[in-house]
Amino acid sequence: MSRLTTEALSVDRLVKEVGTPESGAVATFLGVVRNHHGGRGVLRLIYEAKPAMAQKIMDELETEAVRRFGVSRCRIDHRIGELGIGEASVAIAVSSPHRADAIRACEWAINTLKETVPIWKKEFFADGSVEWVEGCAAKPVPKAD
Amino acid sequence: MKVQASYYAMLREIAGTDHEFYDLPDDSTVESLLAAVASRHPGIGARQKHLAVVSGNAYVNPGYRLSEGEDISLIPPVSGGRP
Repeated sequence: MSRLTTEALSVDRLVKEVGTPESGAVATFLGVVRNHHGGRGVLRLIYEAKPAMAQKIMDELETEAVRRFGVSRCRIDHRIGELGIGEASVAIAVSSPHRADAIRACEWAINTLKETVPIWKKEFFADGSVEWVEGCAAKPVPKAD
Repeated sequence: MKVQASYYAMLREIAGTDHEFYDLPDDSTVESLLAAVASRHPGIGARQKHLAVVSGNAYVNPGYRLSEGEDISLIPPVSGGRP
């Protein structure tokens, strides 16, 4: 089960949660708050979610990553609320018997999360302006045939 | 019939509220709700192409038929991000 939390994220915790005796590899991804966007300085961010739906779709991503890539386990945590520069906003861990599947599944999970999970980012810039990041229209998790 | 529209993130800020109610003809679809929202909030109308629509916790299409009292969420673009 995925987790949506206002607490600091821990990759170590996720790595333990995906551990299985048959796993020879664990791939992880950590998304962190950077201090610039489009050439402008960023001071901090606020992440806002539609919580129950965000959690449900992150659960779907965990399940779909296992189904699609044949990995052992996938776990995803996302932080919401106010975050400072360098703090982790999203953490993913995927375990599999061999490394290639874990790495591919981890990349698929973060790329798909960014397009499907209703979480929005409000950036507070050094010049005093405040903007919601507008990427792509949100869409459902694509199912493999 | 009466339906609720719920707004998130930038849409909530444009609308100045997190939800409001609309009176629509029976058998209306998401498309007619979006048109009603756009006429009340032109700032949301301008973004209509990039919005997603949600019933419960699932994305629905413009042709989705609304039910009396249903709560429909308007979802602004997600961050996407550069890989």
